[in-house]
Amino acid sequence: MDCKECKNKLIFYFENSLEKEEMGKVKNHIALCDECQSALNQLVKSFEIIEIEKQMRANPFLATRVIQNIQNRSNNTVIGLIRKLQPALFSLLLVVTLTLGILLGNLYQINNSDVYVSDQFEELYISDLNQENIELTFLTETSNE
Amino acid sequence: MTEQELIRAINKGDQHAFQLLISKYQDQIFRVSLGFLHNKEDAEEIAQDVFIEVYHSIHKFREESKLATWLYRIAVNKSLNFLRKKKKHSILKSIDSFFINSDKPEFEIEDVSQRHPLEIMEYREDAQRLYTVINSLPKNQRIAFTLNKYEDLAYKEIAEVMGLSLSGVESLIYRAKINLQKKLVSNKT
Repeated sequence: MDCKECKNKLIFYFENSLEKEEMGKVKNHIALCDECQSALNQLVKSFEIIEIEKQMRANPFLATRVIQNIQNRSNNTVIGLIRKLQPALFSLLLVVTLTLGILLGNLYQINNSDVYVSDQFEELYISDLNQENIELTFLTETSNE
Repeated sequence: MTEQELIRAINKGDQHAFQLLISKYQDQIFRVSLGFLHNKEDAEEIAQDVFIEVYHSIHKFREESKLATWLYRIAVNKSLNFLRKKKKHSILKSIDSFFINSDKPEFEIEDVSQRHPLEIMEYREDAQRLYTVINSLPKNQRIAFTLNKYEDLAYKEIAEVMGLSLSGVESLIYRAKINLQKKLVSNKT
């Protein structure tokens, strides 16, 4: 067995999945070849890293975190909906304010017309045009005499 | 509680049943994600996302496959999407690290306190080399290899998760091993 052939079978040798005869050939080659031995060591090291990684466990509070996250997200959905509706609510508020303003304005105009009427009364009261003027009074008085 | 009872209970909004599901599958999902991401925090984030998705879409699960198969499928998809997004940001990150000069590795070693600093450094180099090689595998080979090596799933189960035939999975894992061997050995020697 040459180095090329051996290197192609190293991973299967390491996994012990070669046939018995092949296992023996690779084993014998490795015993004599430093390069192939070092390649095998490298493979072993790499697969050890995977084994170490596999021993890691998930956070024991994962379930609590997930449930908390779900609750937060549902709260955020409500807030998000409010945020999405914000422009529409603002427009609605603007329309309501404008309508209210117009209504109040109309109310003010009606009051003004009332005031106008009373002004006329006041004007009549103050004005003496409709009353008998003094010249006419004198004339009447002199004619009576 | 059987799998079907568990699913029915979660569908009815039983939070205790959902907690049971998480505690039953959290390590498996975490390990699969870790196999793709090689970072504890990222793997935990993905595991959380997987269970959140399960909570919201368990009513869509038609029980045609095992619950674990469905969970693995979600975990694989989420991990691959995460990697895709991470790759997009890698250019920005590399610019960032150029200025900040951060040497923080993307992987961790459990219980480093008992190791010599040189040993830790060598381990990190080896781990980085291994992860680079695994990440360079074609997508399907990587999925099949990760499920097989990190989760010790049988070829039949991998075939169910990936929606492939048994022989297809056998071939994928064989090619993945050959590629890994070629790259790991030629990288070092």
